[in-house]
Amino acid sequence: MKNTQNVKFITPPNRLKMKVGGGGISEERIQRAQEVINNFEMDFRPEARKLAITLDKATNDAIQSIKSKKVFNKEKMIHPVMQLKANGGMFKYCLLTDVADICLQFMEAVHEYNTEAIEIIKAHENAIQIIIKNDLKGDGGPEGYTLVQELHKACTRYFKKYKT
Amino acid sequence: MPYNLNDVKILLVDDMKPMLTLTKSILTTFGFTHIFTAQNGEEAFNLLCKHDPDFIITDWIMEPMDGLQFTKKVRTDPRSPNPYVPIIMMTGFSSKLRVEGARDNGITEFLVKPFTAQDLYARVFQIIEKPRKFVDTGEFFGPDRRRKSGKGYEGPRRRDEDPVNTPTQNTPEALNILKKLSEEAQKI
Repeated sequence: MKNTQNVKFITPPNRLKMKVGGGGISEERIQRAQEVINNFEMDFRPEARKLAITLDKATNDAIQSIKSKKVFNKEKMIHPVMQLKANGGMFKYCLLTDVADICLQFMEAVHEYNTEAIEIIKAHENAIQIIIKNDLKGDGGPEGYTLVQELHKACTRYFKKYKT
Repeated sequence: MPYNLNDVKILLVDDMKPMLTLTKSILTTFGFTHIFTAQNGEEAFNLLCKHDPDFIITDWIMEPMDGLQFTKKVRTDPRSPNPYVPIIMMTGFSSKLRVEGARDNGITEFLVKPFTAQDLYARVFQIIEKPRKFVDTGEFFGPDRRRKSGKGYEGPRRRDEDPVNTPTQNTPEALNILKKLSEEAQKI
């Protein structure tokens, strides 16, 4: 059992609470803030393109590493996908977030990468690049939903085969 | 009587300019007026020392100093004006392992991107109304990490019956593109 004698619990003064008092922020303000998100017009595409290029390089490097049986850093693939997932939906590219989210979960769950795993990542990468290139905002409706489901099924087939 | 936000100082850190601008706009709409921004951990620490903010919102993945390294510095560097300052980490990571890793570096609360205005408000409300105690074990110094952990997410977020909030570009060309991508995914 760990020695807990040296553990100290500290209750720091709540400076923030002392400054703001009580009452919260009104529903009206929160709604207005949501409208700021909904109407935000700054172009995310330059950032998205950079991330897609970074992802492409990382997946190509991964393929080369697997072929030559060298170790590669999977975080180089994970980070750009995570950024696309995180930021796409903030700028109305909801389908981009959905596709990147499936890919991110897949990559986090794979323990040992092989060419089939990279093929699945490449399929997601392809979808991501097409979404960015064609400026497909929104969630893609029923077609977007079908795409997300098919990508998810591809991931599921992989895990059934490799039982991870 | 709502919160008095006039004197609250926020340090906002994100390396992606559009996201930094958007988050600042959301906070301004909430009523905050003193928002200091930085695009990496080093810049952020300098602003921290200069302005002693009341709370911090930081992204995770940044260079040269990322959000976790910055957080650790805030908690442990002798130059830090307030090692107890609440820190909200924004990130696209949501897996349990990642969240636990971030908490082990001293994060107070997690905000998973993409988020709504309500989500951001909920985190701000949490640090004001339900502040965590701090724990010092000698090996770890930071907010108490114990809270109920949520179930990990598996699979697509969206279900068929979920309402569609964002208009879709459903030109025939766009529909064709999405159909082709679905067909290609079936072959994998």
